Amino acid sequence: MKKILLVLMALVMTGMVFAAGQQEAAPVDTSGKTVVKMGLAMQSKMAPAFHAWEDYLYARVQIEAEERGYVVDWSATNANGDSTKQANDIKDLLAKGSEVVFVPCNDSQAILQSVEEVHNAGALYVSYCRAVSPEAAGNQVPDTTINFSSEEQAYVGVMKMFEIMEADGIVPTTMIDVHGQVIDENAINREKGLRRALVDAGYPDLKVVVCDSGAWEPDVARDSVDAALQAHPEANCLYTSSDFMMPGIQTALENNDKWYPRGEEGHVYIASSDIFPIAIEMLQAGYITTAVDQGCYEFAVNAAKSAFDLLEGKEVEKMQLTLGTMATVDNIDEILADDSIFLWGNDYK
Amino acid sequence: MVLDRIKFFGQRNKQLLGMLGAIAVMLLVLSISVENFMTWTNITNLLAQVAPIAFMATGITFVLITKGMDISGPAVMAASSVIAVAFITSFKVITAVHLISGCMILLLAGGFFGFINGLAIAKLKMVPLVVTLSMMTVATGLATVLGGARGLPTIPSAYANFFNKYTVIVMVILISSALDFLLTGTSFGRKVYYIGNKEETARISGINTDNVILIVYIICGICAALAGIVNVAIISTARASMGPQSQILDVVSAAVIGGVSVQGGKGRVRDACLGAFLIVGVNNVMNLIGVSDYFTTLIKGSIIIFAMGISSFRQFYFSRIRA
Repeated sequence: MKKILLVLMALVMTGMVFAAGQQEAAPVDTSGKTVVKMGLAMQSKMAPAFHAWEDYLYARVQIEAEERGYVVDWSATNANGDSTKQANDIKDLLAKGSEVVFVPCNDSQAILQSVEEVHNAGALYVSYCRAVSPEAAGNQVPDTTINFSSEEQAYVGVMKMFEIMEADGIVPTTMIDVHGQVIDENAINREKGLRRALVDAGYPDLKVVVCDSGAWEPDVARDSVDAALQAHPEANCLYTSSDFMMPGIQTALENNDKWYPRGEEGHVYIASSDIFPIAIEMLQAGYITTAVDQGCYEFAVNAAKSAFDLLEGKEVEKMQLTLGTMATVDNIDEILADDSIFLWGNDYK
Repeated sequence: MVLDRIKFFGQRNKQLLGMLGAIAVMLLVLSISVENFMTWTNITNLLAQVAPIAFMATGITFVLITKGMDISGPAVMAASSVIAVAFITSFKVITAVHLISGCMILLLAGGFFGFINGLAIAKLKMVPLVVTLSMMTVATGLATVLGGARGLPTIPSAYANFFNKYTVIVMVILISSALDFLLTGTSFGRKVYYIGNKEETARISGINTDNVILIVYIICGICAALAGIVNVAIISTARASMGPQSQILDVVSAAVIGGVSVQGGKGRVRDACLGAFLIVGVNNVMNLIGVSDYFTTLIKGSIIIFAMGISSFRQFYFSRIRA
C-alpha cells in the first residue's frame, strides 16, 4: 500500500512538473537559427521593480535575438532573498547549459564565488541592476555591469529638492535619511550621492538622522522614521533610498503630524529614488518633492545588447550606468503626458 | 530460501523500497523528458544541493521520533555559520588552522544552541514549539548583530575548494549513515523510539528520558551546523539570511515524506534524506525546465500537502486494520 502511494506520488509530482512546464517552456527553434541559452537568476520578486527588471529583460532579449537571427532558450529563477539559493540557482542555470547568466545579486560579496563559477564554466556573467562588490578581482569581475547610476540618482534628486525648498523660502533644519539595505551597493552609492549633494548644496553641516530599513522593508522604515521624528520633531526634509518604502514612511509622518502636501504647514520635503507606482501618485498629490526613475527599460536594452555583443566576441564597456528621468512635484504631469519619456512605474500601476 | 530472504527484506524495508521506487520513477521520467537532467554536472549539483536540507532533516528526524519539534534549524544554521565566519575573518592572515578551528566552532555553536533547546524542553518541561520558535528569533538576531552592518567578508577559496560538491556528497552519505545506525542499531536509538511511543512508560522502565531528549536536541543542533558548513562553502561567507524561516517547511516535509511520523516513534534518517532529495529535486527540475518560481512554490506546497495526506491516510488505514 505504502509503495503504491509513494510511486503514485512520484507520478503526480512529475505530472505536475510537466503540467507547469508546458506553460512556460522555452521555444524550440526549427528554422535553423542559432539557439542561445540564457538565464536570469533573480534575487527576489518582492517588489514591482524586480518584476519590471525581469519582464523588460525578457522582452528585450527576444527583440535583440530576433534582429540578430538567434532564438533564445530562456530560464529565470527566483532566490527569494536567500544568497545561498541564488548561488544554487546559478549552478542549475549553468547545468542547463546557459551561455549568459544575468544576475541582480542578493549580496554583493557572497555572489563573488558564483561569478567565478560562471566564468569557470565558460559562460558570461552580466551583473544586472545590481553591482558586485568592488573587492571583486580577477575571475570574480563580471563581464559587464548594467546598473543605474545610483550615486547620481540620489545626488540630482536631493540637489533639486534643496532648490525647490529654497524657492519656497524654506531652510532645511534636520534631514531624515532612510537607508536601503546595507549590503546592497546601490544603497551604499545612494548614500554617497546624498552626502555629496549636502556639500554641493551648501549644507555640509545639516543634521542628518540615518534610519535603517532592514532589507528595503517599509515596515522597518516606518518604525525607524517614527522614532527619528519623535527625537527630531524639527525635521523638515527627508531622503529615501527607494520610494518603495513610502507606505511605511507615510505612516510615520502621519503619526507625527507631518504628512501634508506642499504648500501646507508641516509639509516635509521628500526626495526619493526609483519612482515606484506609488511615488507617481505622491508626486501628483504634492507629498514627494523630487524622485528619480530607475531607468529599468534602459537597463534591459543595454543588458540584452551587451549580452549578444559579448557572445559575438565584441568589446563592451565593463560598467554601463544609466540615469533615469527626474520628476518633480512641478513637472510630473508634463512627464506623464509626454510619450517620449518613459517611467517604469507607469507600466506597473 | 532466497525468495524468503527477499520477502523478509522487503517487509522490513517497505518505506525504503517505496522511496527508492518513487525516486526511480521520477528519475526515469525526468531523464527521458528533461534536457540536461541526467548529466553528471546536474546530478552532482543536485546531490550537493540536497545536503543542507538532508542534514537538517536528519536532525529533525531524531526530534520528531521523540514526539518533539524543532523549528529553529535554519536559524541555528545561519547563526552558527556567522559565528564561525566572524571568527575566521577576525584574523589578518587566514591559514588552514583557522579554517579547521572555524569548522569546529561552527559545530560547537550548533551543539550549544541545541543544548539550550534541549535543556528548556527536557529539564524545564517547556513546550518544544515555543522554545524553538524563541531560539529561531534569538539565533537570527545574533546572526544579524554579528554579521555587522555590511556583512562579513569572504573567506579564502581553500574552504570552498575543500568542501566541494563531491566532498559534500560523501559527507552526507557517511554522516547520515552513521546517524541512521545510531538510531536503529544502538541502545540509544531504541530509547529514542521508546520515548516517542510511550514517554511515561520509558521513564518508569528506567530510561533517563530527560537526558535522551537533551541529547536528541543537541544532535539536531549539530546537524543544523553541518548544513552551515555546506552553505558557507557555497557562498564563501555567512549571512543571517542564509536560513530563511520558510526553509523549515522543506526540512519537516523531507522528514514527513520520508515516513517520519510527527506523532513520534516512527521514522528513519535514511528515508528522511531520500525525502530531502525529492523536495530539493523539485527546485532543480523547475530550474532546468524554466518554470516560473510561482509554479515551483505551488507544486512544492501541493506535494507537501499530498505527502501529509498520505501520512494521515496510512495512520487511519492501519488503525482500521488493527481494529
